[in-house]
Amino acid sequence: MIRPVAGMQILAGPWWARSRSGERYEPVGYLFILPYLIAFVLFMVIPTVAGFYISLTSWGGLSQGRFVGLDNYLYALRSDQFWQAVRNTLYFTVALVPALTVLGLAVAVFVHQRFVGFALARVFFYSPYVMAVTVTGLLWMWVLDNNAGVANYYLGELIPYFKTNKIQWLASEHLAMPSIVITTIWWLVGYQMVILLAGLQDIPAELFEAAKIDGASSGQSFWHITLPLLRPSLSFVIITNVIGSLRVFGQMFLMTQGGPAGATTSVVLYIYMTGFQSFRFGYSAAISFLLLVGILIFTLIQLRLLRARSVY
Amino acid sequence: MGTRLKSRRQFLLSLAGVGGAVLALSCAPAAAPTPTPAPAPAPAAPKPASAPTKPGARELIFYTGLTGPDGQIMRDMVGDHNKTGGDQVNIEIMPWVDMLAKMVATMAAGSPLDVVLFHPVRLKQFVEQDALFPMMDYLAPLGVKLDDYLPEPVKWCTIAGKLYALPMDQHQWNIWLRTDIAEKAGLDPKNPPTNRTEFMQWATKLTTKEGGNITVGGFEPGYPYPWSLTWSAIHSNGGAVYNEDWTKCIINSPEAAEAIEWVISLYDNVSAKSTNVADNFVKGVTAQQISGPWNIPGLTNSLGKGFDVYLMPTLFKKRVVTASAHSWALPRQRDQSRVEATAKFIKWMSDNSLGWAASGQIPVKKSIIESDAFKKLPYRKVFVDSIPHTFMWSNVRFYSELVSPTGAERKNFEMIITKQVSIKEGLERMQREINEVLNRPK
Repeated sequence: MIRPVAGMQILAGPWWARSRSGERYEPVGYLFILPYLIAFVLFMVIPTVAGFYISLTSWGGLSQGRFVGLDNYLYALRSDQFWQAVRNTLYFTVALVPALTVLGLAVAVFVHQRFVGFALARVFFYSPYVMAVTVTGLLWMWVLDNNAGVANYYLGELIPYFKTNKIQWLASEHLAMPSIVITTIWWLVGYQMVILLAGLQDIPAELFEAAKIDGASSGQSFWHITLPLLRPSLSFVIITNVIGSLRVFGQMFLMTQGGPAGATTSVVLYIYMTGFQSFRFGYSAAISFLLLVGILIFTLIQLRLLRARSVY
Repeated sequence: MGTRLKSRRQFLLSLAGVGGAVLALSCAPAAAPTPTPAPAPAPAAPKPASAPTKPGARELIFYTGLTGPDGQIMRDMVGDHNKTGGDQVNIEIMPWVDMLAKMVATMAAGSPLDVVLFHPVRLKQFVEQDALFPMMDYLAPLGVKLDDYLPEPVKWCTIAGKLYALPMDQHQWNIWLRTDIAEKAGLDPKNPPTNRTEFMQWATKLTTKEGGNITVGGFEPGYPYPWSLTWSAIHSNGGAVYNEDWTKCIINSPEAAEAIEWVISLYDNVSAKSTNVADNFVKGVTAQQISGPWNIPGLTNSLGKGFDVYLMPTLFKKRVVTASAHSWALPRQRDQSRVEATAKFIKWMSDNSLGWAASGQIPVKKSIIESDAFKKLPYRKVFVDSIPHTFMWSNVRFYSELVSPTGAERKNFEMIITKQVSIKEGLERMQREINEVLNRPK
């Protein structure tokens, strides 16, 4: 334990700049964060508290809502529509996150190498990410259009069977979600690449040199050096992707509007529809809080599982 | 000193207290009005050229979701109104869903819009929340008489004996034909089919198949939610989706099952299950589609005379044409003089709705439909002829919820169409789930 020395007492300053343990701090720092704090309270804390209150009412936006206690929560937990949205969101998450992480890592490892045109390759993989979700959604709607889309056209050129049996990418209840997952991978893989590439560049080259001298194969180096040292970056990528997937909205809203037969209605899209189309704001707020609890649980589990141990 | 703060915790508590007080003060309403100089006017959106406004003229706010070419025609009409020199109307056009959300938000915030033009399918949602004024309280003193309006849309907009929206137009879903494809198939576009047998013969002849796959759809109902055709078919067969007063779902009937079975047979024989029917019709990948009169200007521009529209055939026992109507409504607000001014604007727009016919839509004022100027407009006759057969869709509580992708009506219907469930099972489930929603307390 470090004991305060005499000099520290002098540095600790007057009473108002002194904590109980005696170390010095500058209260003026709170003034610097005050603008953010005010905005945080106004736009996060107050709406969250108000949202929780609304979730306990039958508020429809215009008339005075009745206090209904936990009815909205119970209604959601008994609702097939809510559980379908939960299943869809979990399906999207389970399909997307591993694929996105593995592909992002593969691309990062690929562009980490110094080959001719490696910088161009990085731009190539990253460029879809600069597009807004609206542009991505509309673009892929056309790519996957069953009559006029290029996906079916080239598939038909490659395999004649598909020339006469066009795939209903977005209109089939079985294919709509995988199509959205593919769209999302194309859109986001460049971002994963950047994060993981930064992690790769942080690994000291000497470790690989030492492993090479000791006779380790490239596979062994990847497994025993790259992956363990990339753990913090991978944890970040996985956690942010899981949170992002649980909150997915734009792709479904644009490409399928949640259909067909509700097969692509995510929880957030369901929240939006119940709130801003059906004007059941109380119920919508209750689902939002259920989602919040779900995300918290997922994140805590992941943090525990992926907690970074000191590696070197 | 007893009051001196002695630790960081106390300092932080006091800082939080001061912060909270500042926040509370900044959020609190002003204690009393303080005379202040009039604020500088905010920069306004460019307005159409207008005559000098009368002193004391107001600026009225008008929301609508006409984001297509018809939006420009509505904008022009509002510009013409503003040129009369009275109250100025600012039109704001945005997608329907956004418009409804913004409408609710502004009303909840106490600064409501003055007038809205929308589909009254959501009328009950607003009336139940006491969000709209009964129209005739303000229109009757201006001399508006409902005798001059088509009865079906007026009935549709009437709840508990009160008119809550004044219909501006009626748009019916009829059958649109690519005449060039029809002629190539040896069909005469001047003599379109009038019943289901003839319709199927036409659709079959208009279908092109390559290797067993349909490359040009002889008729595309829309996939996987062909609601307008299906509701026409069900009602044509003597069935119904809801009871007379829209309080109960009664779709689970042999008549509805037979009608839906026929609709599904279209996908097996004459449809490429197109999900983008309007575009494919223009491209010539779809020979026939079911749609409304708003297509007239766009198709005239893109296809010239290469298309026509004909009356929905008698699919089963009687001819039924599904229809809707853009309608005016008056959101509740405190300033009665603004409501009265808005009512005058609505009357002006309704009286001049011949201009609205340029968008393709069919005005609901009988005097305009019967005018020579309207009769000269191409393609409109089919829609006027379909007026006696119209069935207004829909007037059910919780409409938005029921037709959302996970909604009891749409989801179950799509599950039937995509053959995830049998017709019998799907109809049973649809009826049960819709009635559960309809029986839910407010």
